Amino acid sequence: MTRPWRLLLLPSLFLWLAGVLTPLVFVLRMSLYAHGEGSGEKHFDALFYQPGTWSLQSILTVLTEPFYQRLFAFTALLALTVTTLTLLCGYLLGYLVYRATPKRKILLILLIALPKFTNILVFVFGVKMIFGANGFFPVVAGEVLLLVPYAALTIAATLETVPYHLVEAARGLGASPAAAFWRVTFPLSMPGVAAAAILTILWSASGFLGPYLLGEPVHYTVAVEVERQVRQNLNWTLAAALNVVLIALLAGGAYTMSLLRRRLA
Amino acid sequence: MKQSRFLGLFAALVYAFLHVPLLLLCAFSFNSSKFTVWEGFSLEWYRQMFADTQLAEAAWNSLVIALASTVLSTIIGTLCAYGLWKRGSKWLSGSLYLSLVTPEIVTGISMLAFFQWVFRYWQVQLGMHTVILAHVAFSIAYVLLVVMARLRTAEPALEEAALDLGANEWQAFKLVTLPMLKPGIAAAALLAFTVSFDDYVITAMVAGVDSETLPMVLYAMARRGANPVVSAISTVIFLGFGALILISDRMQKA
Repeated sequence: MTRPWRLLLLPSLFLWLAGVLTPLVFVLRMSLYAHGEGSGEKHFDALFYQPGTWSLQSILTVLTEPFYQRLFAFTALLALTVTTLTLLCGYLLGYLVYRATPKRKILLILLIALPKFTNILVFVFGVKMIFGANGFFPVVAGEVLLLVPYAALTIAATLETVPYHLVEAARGLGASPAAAFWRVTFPLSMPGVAAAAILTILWSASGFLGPYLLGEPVHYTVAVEVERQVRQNLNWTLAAALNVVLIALLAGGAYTMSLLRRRLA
Repeated sequence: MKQSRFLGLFAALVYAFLHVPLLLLCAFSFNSSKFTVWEGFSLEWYRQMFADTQLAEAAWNSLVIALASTVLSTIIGTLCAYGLWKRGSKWLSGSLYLSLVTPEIVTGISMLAFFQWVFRYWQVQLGMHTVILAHVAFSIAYVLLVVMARLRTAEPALEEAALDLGANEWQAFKLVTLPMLKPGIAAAALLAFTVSFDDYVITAMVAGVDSETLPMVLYAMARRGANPVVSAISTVIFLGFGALILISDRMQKA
């Protein structure tokens, strides 16, 4: 008898192949075409790239032009700033959830999750209203506020697995509250912090709406430039090359972090 | 305990900042002035919102897309989670989560490029169907995440007991595991609905001329400058989702 549950995986696998993996392979291939002419009575897609060609032109442009180097450097700076602040705020909120009584715990979690049930766009408009003018600070604040709920809930979930009597034992043996926290609670919550850090870096480095709606053009990220290349310049190969470099950097970063995490654990 | 008071104050500030943007939008949607200066109570923006036919059409599109992709992704994702639970594979579940960590803009562009390539051989256009397909493809990972979390606490022995007592595999699933999974499936559907209804970046890439969604219209309005109609729509969406959460909470308790 064939195992029926293997069949249950089929629809997902099919959709995953058609909707996630194949398109990703397509982006990789797209970054290696010679770029299109953008005009003329060609096949629709031939406007954006020349089918059948192989070229490193777009990737080299992204890697060598100072404009793109600056763009990636700014995106990295933004992602690191946002991640640091998000983890600080997220840890604090997560810790409060951990220490709250069961009844208040649910209330605190709900209050963290509630803003997530609105449209991201709507949320960003709200942030825009607070600050009035666009700039670096509004971008950072907007991204942090968008990501704090995820970080806080991930960290809270890990803290829940830390038995509080360990801290009480440390206190009983003479540790100060700060020492008990730094030598017992904090190391045990590290897996959650690492998971939150990876998510936050990934999402803030690929943020689009926040920088676009809250920033001036100097605060635009790689994702905004990708959108501009696709929509305005119709330069799909360059957009794909930007994506490929972004994914490579993110995957490299995530891999390094998971190695670090293994060493810390 | 000066330190902990400082931390408490800081936490209260973070909590406040999480909610201030929405409260501000709600407040200014009732302002009679077009600008962010309070001039008086008015329902003018709500009147304009209901009079706007383009907006109504976009809202309808969003609703249809969100409902279709929620139903499809919840069914497919739940089946997949069940299959993975029965016969786990780290490699397989890891790759299914791939779409959660892929930047939205990458998913959007890659789907657009993929659809355009398919259309060379198959004469169709971008439209509601491409948006629904894209939404199902990225929602499945969210459904998996939630349903798998619920399954992790499930006891495989219960199904085995049902099999021992003469149930077939379908009955064991339907009568034992499915009822236990219900809260998880409901939560997954709610999440799938929100991510679909909210999505802008991917949708804007794969949408055709006839499939403009609410976030796309909102976005276009906001780019044109301060517009209290946007605040009014935001308030309505927020209240709608609030009601949805309350209803689903009631249903889970009942």
